[in-house]
Amino acid sequence: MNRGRVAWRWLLRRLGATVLTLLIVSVIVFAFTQALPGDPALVHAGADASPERVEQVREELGLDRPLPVQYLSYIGDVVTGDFGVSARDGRPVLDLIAERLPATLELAILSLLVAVLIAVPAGIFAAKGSGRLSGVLTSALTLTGLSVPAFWFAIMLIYVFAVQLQWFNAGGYVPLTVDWQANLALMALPVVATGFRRSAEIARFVRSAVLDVSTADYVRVAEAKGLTGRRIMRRHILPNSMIPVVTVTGLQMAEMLGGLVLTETVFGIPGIGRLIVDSIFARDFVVVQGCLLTAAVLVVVVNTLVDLLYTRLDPRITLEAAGV
Amino acid sequence: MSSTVNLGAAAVARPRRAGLARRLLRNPSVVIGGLVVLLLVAGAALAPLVAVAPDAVDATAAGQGPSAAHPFGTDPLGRDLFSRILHGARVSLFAGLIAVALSALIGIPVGAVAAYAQSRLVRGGILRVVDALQAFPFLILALAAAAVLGPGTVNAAVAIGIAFVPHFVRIARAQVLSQLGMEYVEAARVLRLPSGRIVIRHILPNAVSPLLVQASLACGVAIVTEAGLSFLGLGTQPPTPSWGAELRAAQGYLLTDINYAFWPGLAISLAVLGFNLLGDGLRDVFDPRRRSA
Repeated sequence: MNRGRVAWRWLLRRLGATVLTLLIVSVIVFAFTQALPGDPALVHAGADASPERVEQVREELGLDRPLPVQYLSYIGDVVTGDFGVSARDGRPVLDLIAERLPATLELAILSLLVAVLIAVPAGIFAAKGSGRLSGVLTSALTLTGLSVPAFWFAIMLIYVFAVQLQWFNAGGYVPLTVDWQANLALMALPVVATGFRRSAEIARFVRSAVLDVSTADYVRVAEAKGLTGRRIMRRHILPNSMIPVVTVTGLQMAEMLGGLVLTETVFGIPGIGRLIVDSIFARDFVVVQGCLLTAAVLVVVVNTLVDLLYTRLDPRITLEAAGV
Repeated sequence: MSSTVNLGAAAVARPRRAGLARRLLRNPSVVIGGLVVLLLVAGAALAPLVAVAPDAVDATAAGQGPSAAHPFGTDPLGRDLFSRILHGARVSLFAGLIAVALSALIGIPVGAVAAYAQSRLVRGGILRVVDALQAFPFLILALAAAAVLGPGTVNAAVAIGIAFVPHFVRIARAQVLSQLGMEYVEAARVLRLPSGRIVIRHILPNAVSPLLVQASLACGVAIVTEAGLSFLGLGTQPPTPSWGAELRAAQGYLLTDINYAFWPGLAISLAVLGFNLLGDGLRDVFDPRRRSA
């Protein structure tokens, strides 16, 4: 079979698996609303509504139909971009999410960037540094990063840099498109708090990837040829050890989106995480449902992209090995 | 005959167990992590004996820093922070324990079925559902479960346990799969032992150590997640002292009183560090080929 056809077959299978996962995700999200306590018709109609009015709302919302029919209708709506209407202010859920998503995405992307900027040098230092000091320092960094909760670290950063030194404002949000300087000044502390936490896991991977590659034959050949250590690191070890690092960085996205709920709460950033929490308290579960779906879709899409990127980055990963 | 065999097995098992104990005690991560966890358990157990009541108000000492009377200082209401942190350890450990026990109780059997079931549909179906559940960010899944169950310590612990199930399914499945090719499993199959018995009596005991490692690491995550849920107001509710709820309250006093926010966060960090070290150390001892950083 020629390589092009194999590649297409692999791509189709991968996308097929993605669609299947998304379908199950939609069933879980639908089941979530069914499991919620309370009567959604009552929430929509308002606490003071008469029983007749509640029944009328139930019929309007289609809640009197059998569950499979309700699910199919839900899927139909979602696919056509109708995530329902917020019980709180009557606005379309998709509009609310679209409003909040940029802040969350910006926070996520900048935090990953900071995480990589800390993790790569730290990981290399841990792998190549001689003596106990580098090992102890890196262990301390990764263990601290993995153990200190990002939301407490964020509060401590606020105390030092906003309350005491007054270098930054803590709290509030200005969209990037409105004033990028004010935006970055407000994002600095949340991004450092989240990025530091994320750097710990990535640094571990950088260290083990660099150690793995360092013992490869081509690195020994390069050493035998008399290349300098710096050149070997830059030309041979780093490019090859970055492949698993890209994967693990991409996969951090899922965990980070969860953690951002807390970061957004500490700093008062109006992102998706804050929207979920506020909607849970307001019992506005149509919005919670929309946010859950959005978060899961984001993660599935990022994971699929990381998978595709992985096979592109490393020509040694054959499509057969990737599951064709 | 059988008693001879058993005696022989016991004789072999004893030095092996002694060797394991020695290796555990020689591993600094296990020792330090174990000590931190032990300290935590002791603190939680002895809290009512060594500290004043967590709700006792000393109005003359509101919002003060550490002193002889109040080792960690007091909160703005005049309650002793040392006592509140120690009592908070009870909530954290309880939540960690319930969450890990629940997820292991559901996740391990489901993971074993996902590895051992005859039907390809069952094996594939479980994996697809686990994939889909893992598409939800962990804290968001726990939040959704907490929204369904309502606030409270037990509900938060159950919510975290539910969110952890997919992780345990994966680990248990991987462990059972890795044992399937072993000769003792072949032998049990040749003897026509029922599948359930092979998995429960033969395979799972051999997969205990990685599951133990996972349980220790999961306990750390569960503690920080419970603190997160309580910080958001969806976990333990005041006046019950919990580290997350203390932090939530302390955030409002950041301009005047850093002491209040400092101790609960330090407690969470230490607890998570303890369980992480213990988990990492156990992994190094049980599986020396895969040393952690």
